[in-house]
Amino acid sequence: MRGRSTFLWLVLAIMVGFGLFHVKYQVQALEEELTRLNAAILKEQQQTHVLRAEWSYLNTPTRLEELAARHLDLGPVQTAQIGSVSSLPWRPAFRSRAAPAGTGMKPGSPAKERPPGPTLRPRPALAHTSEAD
Amino acid sequence: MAGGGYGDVANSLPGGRVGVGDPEHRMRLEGVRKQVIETGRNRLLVIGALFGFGFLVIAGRLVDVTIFKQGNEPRLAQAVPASTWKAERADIVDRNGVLLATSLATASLYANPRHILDAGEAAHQLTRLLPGLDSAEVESKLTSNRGFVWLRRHLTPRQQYAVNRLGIPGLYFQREERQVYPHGRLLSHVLGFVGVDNRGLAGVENSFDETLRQSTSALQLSLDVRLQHIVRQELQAAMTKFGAIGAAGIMLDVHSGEVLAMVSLPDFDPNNPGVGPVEATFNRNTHGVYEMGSTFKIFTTAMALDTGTATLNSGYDATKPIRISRFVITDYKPKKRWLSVPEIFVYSSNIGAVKMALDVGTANQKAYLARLGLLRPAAIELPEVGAPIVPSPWGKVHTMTIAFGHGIAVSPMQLVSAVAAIVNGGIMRPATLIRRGPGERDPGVRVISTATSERMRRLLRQVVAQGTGRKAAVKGYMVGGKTGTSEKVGARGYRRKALLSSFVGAFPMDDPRYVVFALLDEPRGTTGTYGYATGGWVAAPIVGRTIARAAPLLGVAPVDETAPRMRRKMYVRINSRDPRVASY
Repeated sequence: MRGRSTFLWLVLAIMVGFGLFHVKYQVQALEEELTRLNAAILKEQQQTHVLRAEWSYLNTPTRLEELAARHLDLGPVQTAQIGSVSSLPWRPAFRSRAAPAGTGMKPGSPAKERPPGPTLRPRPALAHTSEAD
Repeated sequence: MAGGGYGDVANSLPGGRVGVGDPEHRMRLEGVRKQVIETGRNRLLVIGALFGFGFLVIAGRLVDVTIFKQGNEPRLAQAVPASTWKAERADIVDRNGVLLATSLATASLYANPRHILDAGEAAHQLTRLLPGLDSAEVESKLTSNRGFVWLRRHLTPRQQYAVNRLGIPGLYFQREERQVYPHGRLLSHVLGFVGVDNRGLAGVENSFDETLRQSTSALQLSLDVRLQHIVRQELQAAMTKFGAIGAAGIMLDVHSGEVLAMVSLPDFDPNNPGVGPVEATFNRNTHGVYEMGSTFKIFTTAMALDTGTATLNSGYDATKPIRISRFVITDYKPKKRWLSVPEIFVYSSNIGAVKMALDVGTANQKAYLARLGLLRPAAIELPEVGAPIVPSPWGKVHTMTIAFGHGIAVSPMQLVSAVAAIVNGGIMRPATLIRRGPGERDPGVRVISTATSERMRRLLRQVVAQGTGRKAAVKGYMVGGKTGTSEKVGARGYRRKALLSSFVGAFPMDDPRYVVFALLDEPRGTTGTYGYATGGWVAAPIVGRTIARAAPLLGVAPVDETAPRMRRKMYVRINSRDPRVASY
C-alpha cells in the first residue's frame, strides 16, 4: 500500500515536471517567434515607408499630367462643363412616332434616341446654379 | 496514561531523597523516566506542528498564486508590444495626405584605413563605381593613419550592392537616414531642407524641427499639391514668356487663413539644396519685401470708406498732378477730370488715391495698416520672414505715397493676408501653413466693418469686370482683384524699366473664398502685350488661368455673372457725379 502510493506520487511528480518544462519550452519558442515577427513587422513598415515615398514620387502632378496627356483623352475641366441638375432642360415630351416600332424601347429612355456625344449639355445660362447651393 | 503521569510528576517532584529499592521508589523512578519521554514527545509535537503550519502556509500560498487570480493581474497575458518603427524625422504631408517629405534609410560608406590592404587599387575601384569621387583624394584618405574616414554619404541600394561586391576589406557601411522630397522642386521654399545631420535648416523643416524629431505622426500642412502645381506651372510659363527674373504666387483660404499654395521662382531642389544659385533659396513670398504699387489702393479705399471720409458716390478732382517736395504724383493714364471713388479705384488713379488718403489722415492710415498686419513681419510658420520697410517718421509725403503703394515695402504674404481680411467680411486672421480643422479657426480681429468689406468686394469685382484687371476674368467664377505695378528702386531712384507687376485677386466675388496672388519680377512686355509689362497685362492673366484651373478642384460652383441677381449684387455706380463739384 505504502509502496504503491509512493510510486503514484513519483509518477505524478514526473508528469508535472514534464508538463512544466514542456510549457516552458513552448513559451520560449513562442517568444522567439514573437521577436522574429516583430522584427519582420519592423522591416515591413520600413518597406511600406519606402513604397509610400515612391508612390508619392510617382504621383507628382507633373508626371500625372504627362501620363494623362499621353494615355487619356481628357482635358482640364472647363466652366461650361459644370452644371447643376436644376440647370438641365426638361425632357421633351415623348413622341411615339420618333421611336421605331418593335424595337422594344421603353418610353422612359429618351437618352438612347440622342446622337452620340455629350448627353448632359448644360444650358448656356446657369442661373439656377447659385440658387441650388 | 499521560494524565496519570502528570499527577505522578506533580506528586513526585517536590519529594527529595527517596530510597531506590522500595516499590514507592520504583514507582517514582518510572514517573521521572516517563516525564522525560513526555517532554521530548511534546517538543516534537510542537516542532511538527510548526513545520506543518509552515508547509500549510506555503501550500496555501502556492494554491493562491497558481489557481486564484490576483487583483493586479491582467485578465489576458500581455505580449511585448510590437515596436513600431520610428524615423528620425516625422513625415510631412499635404492637406490631402500626400507625402511631401519623409526620411528613408540609406547606407553611408566609410573606411578604416588601417584595414585597407591596397589603397591605390581600392581607390581606383571605388571611383569607377561612385561617380564624383576623386581618385587621388580617396587614396590619400585610405592611406591616412586614422581609424575612420567617410567616403560617401547616402549610397543608393544599387551602389551599396556594387561596393559590397568589390569585396574590399576595410570598407564598412553605416546605416543612416536621409530626408527625401518626392515632389522635388514643387514645394522647395515651403518645406525648406535639412543639413547632412538631418537638422532642419530652412522652411517648415526648420520651424517645426523639434516637433518633427519627436513626433511619430505626420505633420499636415495646409498646402494642396495640385494647387501648388497649378500656381507653379502658370508662374513658370509667365516668367518664361515675359523674361522675368523671378515670380511669386500665393493662394489663400480667406476664412481660415490657410495657405493652399505658395510658390517662389526660381526655386531649388530640396533633395540637393547646395546645388544651384544661392538666390534660388530666397522665398519671395515671405522673405522678400516689395513696394507693391496700386494694390495698396485696396487699403486706401477701404479705410476711406470705413472711416466715412469717402463714399461710393463721392469723388475727387484728378485734373492736375500733385506736387509735393521733389515728387510729382501723376496718373498712369490720366483722365484729367473729376473722378468718383469707384472710378479712382477701377482706373487706378494715383491722384485720387492720394487725395483719399489725405482725407483719412496719417494717424488713421497708420492705424489701419497696423491692424491689417502690414507694419510687422508676416505671421507665418516659416523662419524666412522679412520685416516690412516702413517710413519713420511717417510724414504727410509718406501718407501720400503709401496711398498708392510706394514708400512702404511689404512681403506678398502680408499683402495677401490683408486682402483676405478686406474681402472676407473684415476679419483679420493670421496666415498659416498648418491645416486647420473646421473647429480650429482663429477668431481673428475685426479690421473693417462688414459693410465696407461688402463695398470693397463690389469695387474689386468692377476692376476685373471693366477696369485694369480685365485679363484676370474667368467666366463663371466672378473674379475680382486689383492690379499693381511698381518700379524697382535702383542706385539712382526708381528704375523705369525694372517693374514689379502683380495682381491680387479673389473669387467668387459675391462670397469670396480664396485669394490668389501673382507677382512677376522685372517682366518685359511682348508684342502680345503691346510692349506693356504692367500688372494688368502680365500678372492678371496668371491669376485668371490659375483660378480657371483651380476652381473646379476647390469645388467652387460656377455662376452666371450676367444674371440680374448677380449684377445687382455686384453693382457699383461708376460715373457718379457729385452735384456740388459739378463745376469741375
